[in-house]
Amino acid sequence: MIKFLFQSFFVRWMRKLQIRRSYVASLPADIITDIFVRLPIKSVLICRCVCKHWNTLISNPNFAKLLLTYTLPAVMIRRKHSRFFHLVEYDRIEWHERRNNTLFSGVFEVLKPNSSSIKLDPKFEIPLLGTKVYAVLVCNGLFYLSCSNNGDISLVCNPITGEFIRLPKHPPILKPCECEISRGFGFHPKTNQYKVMRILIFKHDHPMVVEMLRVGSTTWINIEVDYPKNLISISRFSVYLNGALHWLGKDVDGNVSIWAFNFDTERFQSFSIPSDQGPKVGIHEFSGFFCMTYYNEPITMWIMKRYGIEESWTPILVNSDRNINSSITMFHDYIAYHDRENKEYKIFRTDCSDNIQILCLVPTLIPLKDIIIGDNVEVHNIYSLNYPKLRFY
Amino acid sequence: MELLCIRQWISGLLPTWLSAWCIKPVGGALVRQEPEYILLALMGSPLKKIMLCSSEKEIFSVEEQVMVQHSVIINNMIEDGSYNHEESKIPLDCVDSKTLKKVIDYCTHHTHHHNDNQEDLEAWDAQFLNVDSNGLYDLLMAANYLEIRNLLDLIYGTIKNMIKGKKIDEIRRIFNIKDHGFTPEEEEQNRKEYPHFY
Repeated sequence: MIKFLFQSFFVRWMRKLQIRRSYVASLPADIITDIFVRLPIKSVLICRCVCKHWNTLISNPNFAKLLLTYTLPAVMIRRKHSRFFHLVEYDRIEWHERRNNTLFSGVFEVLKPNSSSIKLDPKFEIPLLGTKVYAVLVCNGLFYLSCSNNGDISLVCNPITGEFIRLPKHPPILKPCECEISRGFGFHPKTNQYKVMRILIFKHDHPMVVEMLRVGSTTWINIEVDYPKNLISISRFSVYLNGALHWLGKDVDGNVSIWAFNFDTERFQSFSIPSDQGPKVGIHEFSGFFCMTYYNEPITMWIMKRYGIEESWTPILVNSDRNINSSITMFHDYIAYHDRENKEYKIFRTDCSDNIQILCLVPTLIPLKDIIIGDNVEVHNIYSLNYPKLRFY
Repeated sequence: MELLCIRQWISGLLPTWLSAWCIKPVGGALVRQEPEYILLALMGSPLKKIMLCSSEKEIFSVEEQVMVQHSVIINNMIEDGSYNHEESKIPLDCVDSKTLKKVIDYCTHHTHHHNDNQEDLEAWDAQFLNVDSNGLYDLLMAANYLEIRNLLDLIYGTIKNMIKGKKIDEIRRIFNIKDHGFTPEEEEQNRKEYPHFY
């Protein structure tokens, strides 16, 4: 009898000891994975370094795909020409319920010119030894960076994982006169390829030169396009949406229209703008729709409810509190969109000068080699290079 | 339209009528039941109870409605008829008594207080999860085994808050990870690449 009691106590005591010792080791993999997908990206990266077991789970390519389905869109902010990018994740902003929406004041601390306290983290540095990063375009969580004005150094990278691919040099610009350079970075869903474009518009009647590179290949291709001859300039950076790149184009009469390059047809198509409210305009993607903003007083935003159909331009009200679940408000120089129900937010700059650049992306951990199709694609990692100023905050 | 409703009403009441006549459908046949159950059937028995047996062989009696609403496993067991109300108990060998009691507590509270306002429910949940880490672990395994979705989400949220915003050393301490399993080279590499995570 006593022996029986002793045995049962002993067994229970041993079991308790076991649990205390191997709390985490005995959690099944699918439970741990379920927990990881609910964490913000920074915490996922931290958990990757906590222990080998967690590292294996997170480094699994299927995990990255699963995480992408849970990840909320985030915003990355950088100062002009800076190599430092700040990631602002939805979970890490403190959302207050006050009506005047000062919830963004924390976000914009870092954007004040002399702010010494960097309130946003994590911060990602792309270490390219002292060069400025001139152009950054984002598509599906990847960045295209152009690090010198003549396009010698450019790369496509995933800032979260640090992987990047160097792109081949641009072909030299042969025409003698001045030209404007516009860039685009987008994704072609049919062929699953990322494409970079460069458009040169020359003064004095030289034809436009359009070059395209499929990321993963080694040569830039010249594309012959039809375009109206009175198109004299287009915006410097494209907006990617629906398998096409969009630029704002201006003709000799000063009329503004939208030029879309479709990757399927490899042709330009133009849309007219919704209304004639002045020269200061911007285009961007908003909740899956193509959006145009007029930076007047007051600011007006129009979205193209059905893509490609000009009659479907619909104005959205800024500063309207009609919907309690989502709101668009003006705050200093920014327009902020917050959807409480779907946990989405977006920030747009209203000032056209690009002192601060705002990039909207969905952070992803998917390795580049699974995304970029090509022969002999060499993937490097900024965190494994021996740069002296290598930091990841 | 009315005919359809009447038919549904009749077919809904059929089992009660049959049981009132002491006839029970078993495996396609109709079998005469024991008389004791006539009374129960006539009463309508909304508070039908089921027996859950913990790993320590302790038996807990719980309203069927409560468990069926929350636990997918128990719901499936009862629906496919493998659970015999009169005789058997559901053996839950993976769950000990203390945890089972807590799980039953959670399900009962959420069924009965379903219409309370959100804040009260959240406050109760926070109080409910005020347990030590072993208790949390046991609850997590039980909720996973019984497939109780909302309890699982609640515990996930708690663990997520334990991880969010913490650095690596703190996380290792909280989850009692004594041996991280990296080789010394790997650990050093990580510390070099991500110094601010430690």
